[in-house]
Amino acid sequence: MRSGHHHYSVCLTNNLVPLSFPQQFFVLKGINPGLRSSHHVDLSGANLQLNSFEELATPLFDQLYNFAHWLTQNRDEAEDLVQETYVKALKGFSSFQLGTNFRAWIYRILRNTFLTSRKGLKVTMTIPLDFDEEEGGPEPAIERDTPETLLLARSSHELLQKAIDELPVHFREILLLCEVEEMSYQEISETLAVPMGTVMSRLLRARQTLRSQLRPQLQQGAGVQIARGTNHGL
Amino acid sequence: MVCEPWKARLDTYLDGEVPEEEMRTFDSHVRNCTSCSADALSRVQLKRAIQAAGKRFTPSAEFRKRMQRNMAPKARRSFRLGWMLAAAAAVVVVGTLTST
Repeated sequence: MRSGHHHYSVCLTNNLVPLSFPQQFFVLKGINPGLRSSHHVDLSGANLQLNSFEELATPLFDQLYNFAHWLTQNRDEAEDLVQETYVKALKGFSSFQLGTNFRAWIYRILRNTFLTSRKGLKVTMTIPLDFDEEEGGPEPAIERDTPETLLLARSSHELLQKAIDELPVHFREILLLCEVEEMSYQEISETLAVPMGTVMSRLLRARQTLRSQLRPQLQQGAGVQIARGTNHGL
Repeated sequence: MVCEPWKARLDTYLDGEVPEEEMRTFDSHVRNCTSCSADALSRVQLKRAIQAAGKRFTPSAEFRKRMQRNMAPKARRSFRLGWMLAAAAAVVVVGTLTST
């Protein structure tokens, strides 16, 4: 489990055991899986020593703002959301149990604040009731030009950002919590207040939706570039 | 396909969420299976791209300052209050000692 990565990071530095396959991928790609959950581990440990709200909340400011902006898709609303989150978190800090996960706690406040805002309610109303019940189904067989390889070839952040922006909010948030915030499934489960099984199935569907959204966009983009004779990246 | 059960859990594996006891079996399969290996590589590429693209928004300097202002005075006030209480307690102690 990802929570065991802290152990891996110790092993990595001491070169005691060979890297597992995904770790090799991450290392090759410049991601250290040993550090993926270290934030969580460090914060939980820090909770035992730090009792200041400011000390716990300030380092998360930039990340919370980024997440808020992705949710609201608007700068002013993101600022209001972050501000409201901090006010609520400060007020409720006495109820926060030291030793538990502060990051999951404050992200949950931010998310709940968003979902109960006018925009959040509007977004929530568009989500079907059987949202998490639908099975994602098996992945299609590997294709020669996958969205991933095309994306890498074109190095296009804009296309990916647009595709993430267009995801339903429940898919967008879970993907960001997993990939950008590097939360473990357990942390995501705490943040979203859903069971682990739901985290896994929702994440699967979020990724499938993103891939299917990227495929036509990338192929269309590639086609336009080829037509213009500017397909340097392909 | 033979690899369907593996592929169904490939993302979980790459997220590092497969139980440790299964990790070795997974490692071994992915190393030796061309299809799963290629799939894993492309998924890691997407993960990496999402990670980079997801770090998109930064708070403005003005908003950062505003938040710092909102949070800092309370801390300073409580700090000052703490010192004032300590000083008052010291005065009481000294006063009591000198009067006896």
